[in-house]
Amino acid sequence: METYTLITGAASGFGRAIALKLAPARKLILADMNAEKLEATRLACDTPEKHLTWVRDLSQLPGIGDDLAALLGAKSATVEHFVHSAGLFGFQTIRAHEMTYVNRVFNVNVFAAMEIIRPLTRKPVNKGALRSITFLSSINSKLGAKGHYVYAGSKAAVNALMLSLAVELAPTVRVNAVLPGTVGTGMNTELFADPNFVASTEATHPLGLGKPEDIADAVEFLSSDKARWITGQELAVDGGRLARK
Amino acid sequence: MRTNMAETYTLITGASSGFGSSIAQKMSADRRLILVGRKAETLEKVRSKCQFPERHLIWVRDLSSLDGLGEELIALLAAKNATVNHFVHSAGLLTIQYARAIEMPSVMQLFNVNVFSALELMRPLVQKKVNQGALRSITLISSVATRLGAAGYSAYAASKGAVNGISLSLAVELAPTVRVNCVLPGIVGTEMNTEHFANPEFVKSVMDTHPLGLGQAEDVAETVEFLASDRARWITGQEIVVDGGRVINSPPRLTKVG
Repeated sequence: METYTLITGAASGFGRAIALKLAPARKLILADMNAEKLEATRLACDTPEKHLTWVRDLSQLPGIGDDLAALLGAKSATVEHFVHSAGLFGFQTIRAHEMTYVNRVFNVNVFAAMEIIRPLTRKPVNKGALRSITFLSSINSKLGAKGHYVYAGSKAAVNALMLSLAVELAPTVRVNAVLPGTVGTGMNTELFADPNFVASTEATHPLGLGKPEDIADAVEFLSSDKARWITGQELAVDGGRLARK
Repeated sequence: MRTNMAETYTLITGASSGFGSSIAQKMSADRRLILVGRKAETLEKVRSKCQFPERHLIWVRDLSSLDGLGEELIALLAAKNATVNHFVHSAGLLTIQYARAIEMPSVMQLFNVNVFSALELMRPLVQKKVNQGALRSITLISSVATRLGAAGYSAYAASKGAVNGISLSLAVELAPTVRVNCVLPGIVGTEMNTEHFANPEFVKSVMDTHPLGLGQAEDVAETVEFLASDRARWITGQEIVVDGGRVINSPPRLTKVG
């Protein structure tokens, strides 16, 4: 029985940076819907052969938990740390509100994590191996912005989910969230192609522009024994964006 | 005359006991430290427990008296040809004072150690001619008492609340060069509360209210080390709670299910 760190959204952005950071010291299960980019992440990791990949579209909820349980059974694997980095981001104003988009965002950002956590906390499936859950939330859960209500709502849901699970799963499992500031990733390439957007991001983040590696460092810390007595916390990694508010 | 050959240090107040002593021992492997405390003997003991004791400096100073504090630090840095790149303010006083019996002299003493001494030490550290622009991070030890109410804690909580506010403002003022954060520990057994922890009922109540059970000074030291390192390069103005889930724990009546 080998024990793994499961990272969703591992093909790009924060998930990929987290995978590369954790790879030397841990065995990883890398999950994403994009098989090609997922494989590229695995090959970029330290000792690629020790890591597994799980190709799955997390916007489709039916069967997620069963698929994961089957994977763990087939590979004789357990999951010690879960990092939910999969996330959908987009703009929608309330005037243009429609539920199809809302469901997709909430499925990936919130509900998929619940579907994954259920088998991970079941003894027959995961043998009591789980020790930490780290969610990627967003500082958008703390700030108002036009067109953000769906994304911000989904990330605020993540914060509250994290809070309740932290109490419910203590003392065995620690549960925390990292709230990144605005960082250039695969999710927002278009925005960061606009010099005005980059300038405004620099102006609103007192420490200047951040990198996916900055987020990965915080995730690594929270999912390690160094954070042994930290649970139920939101850790903003945002170059001072929220402090400046 | 100062030269460019200055050695750079992590300055830790309250280093002779509790969190400060743990932080010192944790950081001593790969940093030079200036350990600040009231008693030479206990400071010396902590230094001897550090790795490479000979490379760390000690500074015996009572932080409840602010007179000349900044000047003494300036003189020390000049005498040792030292600069400070990380400042950890771990010195803290805890006195239980009920509202009906609050006395200003003891409140002032509390604020001097917990809040004002940090300000006096920061001023020279951000002056270029004193510290040569070396400062990169400030980490202040606050408390979960700033998030919870408890009888007799008003003065202590107020002092730590001031620490949180100072951290927030300085984080913006000193960016992008200096990062400023707070660590808010839960109730951990240290020299500050030996008497409390000698009482089994108190220990049980701490275990009941902290979902992850009892914490250790080392848990707090791990977080301070992280915040005062490049791994927290993009973290500033934050309050990091290290409390085994104490502040997010609901009263038991809300958690009964079924």
